[in-house]
Amino acid sequence: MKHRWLLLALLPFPLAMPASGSGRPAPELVRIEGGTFRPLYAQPGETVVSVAPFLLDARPVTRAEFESFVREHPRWQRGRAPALFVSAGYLHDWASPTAAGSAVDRELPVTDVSWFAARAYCAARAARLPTTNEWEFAARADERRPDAASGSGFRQRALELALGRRPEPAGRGFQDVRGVFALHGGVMEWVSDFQSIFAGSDSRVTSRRDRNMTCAAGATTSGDSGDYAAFLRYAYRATVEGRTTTGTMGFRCARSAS
Amino acid sequence: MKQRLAILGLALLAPAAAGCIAERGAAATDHSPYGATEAAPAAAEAAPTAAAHAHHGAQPMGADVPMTGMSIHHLASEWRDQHGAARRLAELGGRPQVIAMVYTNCGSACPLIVGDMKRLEATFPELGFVLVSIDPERDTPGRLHEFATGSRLSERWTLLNGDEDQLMELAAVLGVRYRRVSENDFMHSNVITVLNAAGEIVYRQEALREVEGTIAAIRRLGSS
Repeated sequence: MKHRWLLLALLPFPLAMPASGSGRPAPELVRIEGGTFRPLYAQPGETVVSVAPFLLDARPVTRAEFESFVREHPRWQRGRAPALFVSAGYLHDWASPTAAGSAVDRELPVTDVSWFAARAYCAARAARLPTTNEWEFAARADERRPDAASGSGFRQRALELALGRRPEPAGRGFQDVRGVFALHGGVMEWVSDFQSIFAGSDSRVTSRRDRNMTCAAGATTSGDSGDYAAFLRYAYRATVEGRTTTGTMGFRCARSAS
Repeated sequence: MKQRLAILGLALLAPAAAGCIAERGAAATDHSPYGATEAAPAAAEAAPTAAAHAHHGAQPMGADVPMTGMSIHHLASEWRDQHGAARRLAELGGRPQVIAMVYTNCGSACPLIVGDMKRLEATFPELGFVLVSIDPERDTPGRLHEFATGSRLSERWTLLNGDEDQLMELAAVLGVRYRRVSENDFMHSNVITVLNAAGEIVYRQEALREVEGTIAAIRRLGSS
């Protein structure tokens, strides 16, 4: 119950942000100044990781935007993209392979896209997917602070946003101090290097036997066992495949800052 | 929502082992096209895309095999082999291949993988064998050649060097997880994958499984 009050208390902040709530288009790319943070899973001797400055889409890629992409790149249309790159549910709820659906639908974050498809979209924009560390670093911001993630209130909100919400139109929802929308919300997002996330690399479930039997098992350790929203994201990344498509997985693009 | 929790549950239940010997996370997902043991033939799902992606261009081997939807030959990137020659995965078509992602500096699991693959070669000398390095900076084509010579690998073996992007794509396709954990070492899935002549995954030998299962799968491939 307590966290509900916290949520209410924080409500005025997003409303006070000039770009939110009005439906105005969000800025396309937001510069994320680099920094360091302690990831949920750290490597040995790695208490913090450094993230170089980068640019991140202010909001997730929409169905309308992905529709333009598949029209320009027919090989990524439903029914044409090789099964190697997209599972059976790829863009399954679109009205047709080249029509994302109703006006309301079109502004929603695109989901049911695979890592391969997301990657191809970003490449076509001369961009790329963010790395896990970049994404996690950006997601530590709340409405007031670039790094709010160690607070229990923030964690509770992030978890509720991740679990409790239906996808909102891109450019709505949780907007952080940098103007980035919906890093926390009903849609998870692809990262460029999901292949580097191991299931069960949490030290809480890694047995001594496994450590003895493997080269580097137990090498990654959980940095913060109280951050369940982050745990959920890492678990998701650890279990998807490159061709996986789900209704809760979308993406946004990034660029390295020049 | 339910689905997401289910996935989380799977991740928690997945064996904790991660590293050179054992990693099964990728296979634990219910999205997996490859079951825990054997991949279903991809033909059904691939059907609509097979025609659209019919073979483009001339490939030296398997040029008369149409590219099916689940063929890893869709990965069009260019690699270097142990002789420094430019190679594409589609060139490996036309005969079944046994493929693994390793690094030559690896002291423990990788020699076991190579050992298993050599056992397969003794039983099936007609197959191709492919090692892809996850440590491309160190494992240059020259270093891969040294490794092939030192490990007495036959001409049936192709050792490939490629950039990080290509490796991530291939890892995504093979369901291999890997990450650098120190200057010298990687944590990586121990997976040996059998591809049929069309480049489709037909079997994955995972962590600590016996090579006998792989031998049986290759036999079935030959008799089908």
